[in-house]
Amino acid sequence: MMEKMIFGRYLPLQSVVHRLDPRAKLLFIFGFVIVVFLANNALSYGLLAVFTLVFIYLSKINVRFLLAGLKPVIWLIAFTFLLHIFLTREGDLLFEAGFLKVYEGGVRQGAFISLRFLLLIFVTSLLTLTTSPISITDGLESLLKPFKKLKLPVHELALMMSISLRFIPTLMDETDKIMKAQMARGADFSSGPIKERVKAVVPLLIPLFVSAFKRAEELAVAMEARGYKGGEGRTKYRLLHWQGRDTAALIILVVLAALLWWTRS
Amino acid sequence: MSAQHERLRMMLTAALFAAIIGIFAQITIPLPFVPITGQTLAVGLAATILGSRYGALSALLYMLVGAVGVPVFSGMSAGMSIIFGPTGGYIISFVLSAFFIGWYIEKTKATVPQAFSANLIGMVINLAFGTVWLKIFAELSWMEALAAGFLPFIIGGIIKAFLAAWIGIEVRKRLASARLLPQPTKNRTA
Repeated sequence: MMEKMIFGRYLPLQSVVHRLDPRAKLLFIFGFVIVVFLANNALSYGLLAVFTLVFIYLSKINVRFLLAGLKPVIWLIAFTFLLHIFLTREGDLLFEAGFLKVYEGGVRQGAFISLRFLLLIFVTSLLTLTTSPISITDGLESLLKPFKKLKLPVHELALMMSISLRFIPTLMDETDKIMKAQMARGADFSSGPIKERVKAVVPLLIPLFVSAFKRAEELAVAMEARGYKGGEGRTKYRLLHWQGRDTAALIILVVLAALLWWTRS
Repeated sequence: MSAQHERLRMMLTAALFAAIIGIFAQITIPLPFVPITGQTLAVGLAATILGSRYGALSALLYMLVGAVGVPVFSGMSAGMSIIFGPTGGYIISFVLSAFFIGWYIEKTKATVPQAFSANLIGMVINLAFGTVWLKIFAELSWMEALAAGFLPFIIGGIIKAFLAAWIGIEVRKRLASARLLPQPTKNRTA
């Protein structure tokens, strides 16, 4: 669990998609999320599906990992599909059993919306599977730079994200330690009446939050002792390089949008 | 202590709280019928303890860390696919509800009953936003969206709001006595 927390879902492989600049990938994803909603008939959905499959093939990511990403939403997709099948009353009647009536329009609608979910999940999963959390953070920081003019503390936000990332394993360790310490004192988290179980959580949470405050104070002092004074004039250790293939990826997206515009009804 | 140091310290605290929210999202307290997931509880706690500004910051950081692929969302899931997915509204509205909870508590005397009502309204904001998002994304009718995204979470939400208020105010008292929370209720200068 610890390992999974640190590296996220990133799978370090060698592929074109992995080598793309994180900024290009982020822009691509945001564009794709909008473009997906252009599709509204079989031809345009087919085009989107083919495009997504090519993208997956290029990334060399095992489909198994993409399917794992579906787990948290699969029931919802199924639920939506069924709702549309049974409740949309359009087109020809396909099937009837008692009060259940399935219309052609419902099947089509349900299939399209489920497909849209699937494609969105696949493409956005590809981002986190082919890019490490730290480089996505760098990419986000770089893309959001224009917002600095609006007084949005972009650099600090990115720094706090990486600190949050860095401290997840540490705080997980600490939670575990406090839990065991309280269990040794007789706390019982998993049995007994509800009131007792809820009460058992209190001595777990209080030390955890109080120690987070102490740790933040220590960190702030340590950072300032090393000369940290906000984002002004700070240089970067990891630099991003925009290359031809990054521009190409965005051009492909524009072409896809144009094709969808042309094929949609 | 300078204002700059104070600001950095509170931002770091918000970052650590974001990490705690991520850890708590993986923990479920197994109660009969309504298992309490740690995610909303931890967001409520962060807002109750940190106030509007830094409470909302920690919820935002939690969302962003999850978006870049660290599995901090419930069930070890992560990625933009969750945020742009049908259940993304709940995560996005954590920022709103955290801001509201913190703001409400700052406006009052930060007692447990007041924190409880703040957390209750925060929960309603969270569920309402999440349900509207679900309705639009999954193209459901209002009744269907309510049945899938609002009604099942009410009882657990009330318990969580109470826990967040009770524990949050308790933590604030301890921090104030340890001088770690500089201006206990009116945290406006930071």
